[in-house]
Parts: sequence; structure tokens; C-alpha cells
Amino acid sequence: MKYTIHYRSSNRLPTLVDGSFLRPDTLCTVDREAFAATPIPIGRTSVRLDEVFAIGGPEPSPTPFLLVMDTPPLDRLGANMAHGKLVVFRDVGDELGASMSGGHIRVLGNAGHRVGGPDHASRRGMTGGEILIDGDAGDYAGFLMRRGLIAIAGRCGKSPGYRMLAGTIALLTDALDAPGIEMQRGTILCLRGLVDASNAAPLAASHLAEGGEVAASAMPAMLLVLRRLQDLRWPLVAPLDAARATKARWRIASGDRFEHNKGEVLQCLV
Amino acid sequence: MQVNGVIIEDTFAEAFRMWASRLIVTAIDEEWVRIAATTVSGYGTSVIGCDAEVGVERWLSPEETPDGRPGVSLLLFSFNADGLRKAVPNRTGQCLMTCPTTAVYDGLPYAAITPGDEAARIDLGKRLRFFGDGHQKSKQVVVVAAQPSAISDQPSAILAARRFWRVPVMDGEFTCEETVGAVKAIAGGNILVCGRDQAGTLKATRRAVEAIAPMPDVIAPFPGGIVRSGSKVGSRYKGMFASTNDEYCPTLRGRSKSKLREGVGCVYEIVINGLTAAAISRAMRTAISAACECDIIAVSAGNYGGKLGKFHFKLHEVMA
Repeated sequence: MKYTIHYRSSNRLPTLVDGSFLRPDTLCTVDREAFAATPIPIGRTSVRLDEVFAIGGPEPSPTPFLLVMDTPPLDRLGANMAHGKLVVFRDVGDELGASMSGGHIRVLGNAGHRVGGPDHASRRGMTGGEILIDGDAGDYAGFLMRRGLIAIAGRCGKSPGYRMLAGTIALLTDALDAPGIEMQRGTILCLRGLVDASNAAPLAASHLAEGGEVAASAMPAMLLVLRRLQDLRWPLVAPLDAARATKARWRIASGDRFEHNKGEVLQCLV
Repeated sequence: MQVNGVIIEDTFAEAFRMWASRLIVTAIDEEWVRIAATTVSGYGTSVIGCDAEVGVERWLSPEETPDGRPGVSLLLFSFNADGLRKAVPNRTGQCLMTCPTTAVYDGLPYAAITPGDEAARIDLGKRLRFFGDGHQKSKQVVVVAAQPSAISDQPSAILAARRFWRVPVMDGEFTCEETVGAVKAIAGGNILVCGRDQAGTLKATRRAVEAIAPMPDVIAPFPGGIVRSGSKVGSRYKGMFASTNDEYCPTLRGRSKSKLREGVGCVYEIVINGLTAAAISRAMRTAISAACECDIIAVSAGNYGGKLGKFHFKLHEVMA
């Protein structure tokens, strides 16, 4: 089922901070009455969801689908979600998709720190699923990420892929501040070259070992990632060009040096 | 029954149960796709003597493949899932991993996500990854199959990520799906094209093979899709399971019992393996219609009196 919610800005409740209740896999499988009655914890008490949000739906949908039209920037949106689709039209807070294991999150605004990171004291970040952000993201995107895909179309804070275990992070910026510090495995893709043909400078980072350059076709698995991003129409402003994607080259850097260089930072050159 | 003046014999093709996998192979250009397809389907004509029956199902445009490069869809048939467990990794390892620029994907990704009697999963990248000697990596990506097929390859509502192994090789990486699907299928659908001489019969048979080439869910695994040594079950020699189909040999007319009509001097067979009975029936109809546009005398079919296979394709019903 698909539900659409709008934040009621005129309500007199305390400001919401924690958004972990907004999970399509649990919320969008119940009828409207149960959906509206979902308790939202605020301090020591709780309020009904329909006191805070105006609700539209349900509409038929093959997969649980929650569309958030308007919201304050909540933390922990989509935390622990296992399947379904969450689309947010506004900025979101920190820890978007914390420890999520599956499903799809799309944020049309900006996101805070530790996108796809661990929830609470978990030792793992997201273990599956996809997070696509059309705006900017804060520091440590993909912190302790284990599997899945994070794509950030805008700018990116400190060390994306910080301590990542595995998985894929796709970025459209080349202005990277120490990507993949202490990363164990996994891939960080810098796709600036696909939307802007100017040749990017090599990533100067002492924790990465420089490799050479290979043709994009030499790594078909990365073509699968590009294809997926294209299917998802990411980013909206500059669609990736399939012909250029297959003709492009990858500049390979591997790291972190202290983690046996099993991770990779691939810079796309066209 | 006659089609275009060609006699359609009142007989049936006898086919039997086999298991099939579908591999999607891509490469840097069409030339290397063709080389990969030719190599991996080599020595893959009949399970009488080969580990699998292998053929090209369809050539795929870049839009139809998972990685956006030109590709081919191949079907591999074996007697059971265990046969495919040996043949698919062996052929992939020797013929596709070695071939420049290729990548191998599962063409039945939604088959047997929960294994059962009707379908199974075959370890492919899971076995071949060890060639990477510790440098192999895996990558999980959501890939939506774009290929139309009768086998229920409906993308499920929740798209699960598929796992691929990346084995470092001297031209980059060999990318290979971790497991591939295997489903119950049917092999041995066939038609016999009976003409006057080699040149004319070959022309008609080739036209029939060309007509079924773009059809989904079927392959014609023999050389160029055509068999000239049609067989019967058994032999006068011990240890031979199959021997020449003497009833259709033009040089034996008069010496042994013949099924050849007056004027027939050459017979070619097209063997059709398919994922479903409907796909085989459709392909037989297309092949017969195409052959009957040429100057031939009759179209027949090979069977073993109904004793060997449980699938019977009656020519008159196929053409009805």
C-alpha cells in the first residue's frame, strides 16, 4: 500500500527529532485506521500519527510505499527498514537509513551525517538496500556500511565511506575530503566525470594507494552499478549518458593502506 | 495434410524431460560476443555424447543486457540439475572466463529463489571465484532483467540485489553471477525436412532455422541448427545406445525398410530444445511453415514409437 503524509506545521506539539517510526515496511502494510493510530513517541508520552501528519491514501502499490511530502528534518528516518520504498521531499536529519537491511530510500533534499550508518550501538551500518540523495550529505556517509548502495548527487562532508566494511557509495562530486578512511572493503565511485568532462585531478590522499587506469568495460560490475543508477534516474539534473558510461575510464586507488588495500576508490574519467 | 503443396506426415516428434539454465553473456562488442557464444556452445550438440546441449537463444542489444554492452542469451540443457552443476561452471570457466572482455549473468534470476522440485540454483561465480586466489571481490547490485520469456521471470515486487563475483584477470575483471537458475525443460522436439537433393533440402532447412532464430525460450543445438545424422534407439552392436536412422537414409532405399516418399533424396533434421512445450510447439510450427516455402516434398518428425519421451508433438496438431 502507498501512503502520503504531510507535516502539520501548526500543531503545538514539541518538535519531533526521532523519525525512526517512519518505516514503509511496518507502516504501509496496515489499514488507514491502524496507520493513523500509529503511536509516535515524544518524550515520555506518545501521540497519534494523524495528530502530527495529514494522511493521504492508502493507494494500491506492489510494494509498501511511504511518501513524505513535508517534514521537519528528522533523524533516523528509515532506520532498520527491511523492504519497501520511502521517498522524502524535504531535508532529513542524521542517520538516514541507519542499519537498514533492504528496500529503497530516496531523499530529494539534503541529508545529515552518517547516512546508512549504524543504528545506536550496532557495529554495522546498513546491510542492504539503496539510499539515493539528490541534495548534499553530511559527514561520514556510509559509516560502517556492510552492503547496499548509497548515492549522493550533491556535496559530501568529511570522509564518505569512513570505516566502511563493504558496499558501494556513488558520488557526483570530486571535492572529497579523505574518502574511505579505514575502509576495509567496498567501493567509492566518483562519477563527476560523467556529468562534467573536465579531467579531474587524482585524489591526493595518503591513506590510498594509487593504481592505474582501466577502461570502464574492464570492470563490468561497475557498469551494473551505473545501469542501476540510470534506471533510478539519478541524478535528476543530469542523467548519466550510457554511451559515455561505457567508454569511460576508471582511475583506481585502493585503500585504506592500514586495512590491506582491499577497498577501492574509483574516479571516472571521460 | 499439405502446406504450400508440401506433405505434412501424420506423425509426431517425441521429446523428453531435461533441465535448462540460461546464461546472458556480454562482451565489449558483437564480434567478441559471437566468439564467446561459439566457443561455449562447442561440443554441445547431444547429451548422447556431450555434457550438455548448448545453443544461442537470442542475440541481445545493449539495451537488453544487464551491463549495457552487446550480449547473447544461451540455453544449456542437461538430463538433470546435477548435470548442469557440472556443465555450467566447467563451460563457463573454460570458454567464457578465458574469452576477452566477457561477463556472465543469470538469465533465470527469479527461478528457485526457494529451491524445489521444479527449479534449482546452480553455483557458478561461487565456484569460479577461487580462480581469483584471494583477490576476488563480490558486488551486490539490483539488476532488473529486461528479457521477455515464457518462464515466469516476472520481477518480484521487492527487488532483491543480485550478487556478482569479480575475478581479476589480465584484461580487467571477469564478472560472473554467483548462482544461476535451472528449471525443468523439454528437449528433443524436432522436424525432418524431406527434399529432393542436398542443396535444395539444405536451403529449406536453413530457412527454417533462420525463422526460429529470434524466437525466445528455444534453441537448435546442432551445427548451424541442423542434424544430418538422425538416430534411432539401439544398434546391432553391443554398447551402442543410438545408431543411424536407416529408415530415412536415401542410400539404403531398397536395402532396408524405408520411410522415404517417392522422389526424396535427402533428409535434414532440426532438433528443438525449449523451456516449455508451448515454446517448442510454436518453434516447430514456424520452422515447418518456413521450410514449406521452399521446394521440398514432405515434412516428418522423429519418434521412437512413443516409448522414450513423454512429450509428443503431433505435426497435424502443431500446424492446426
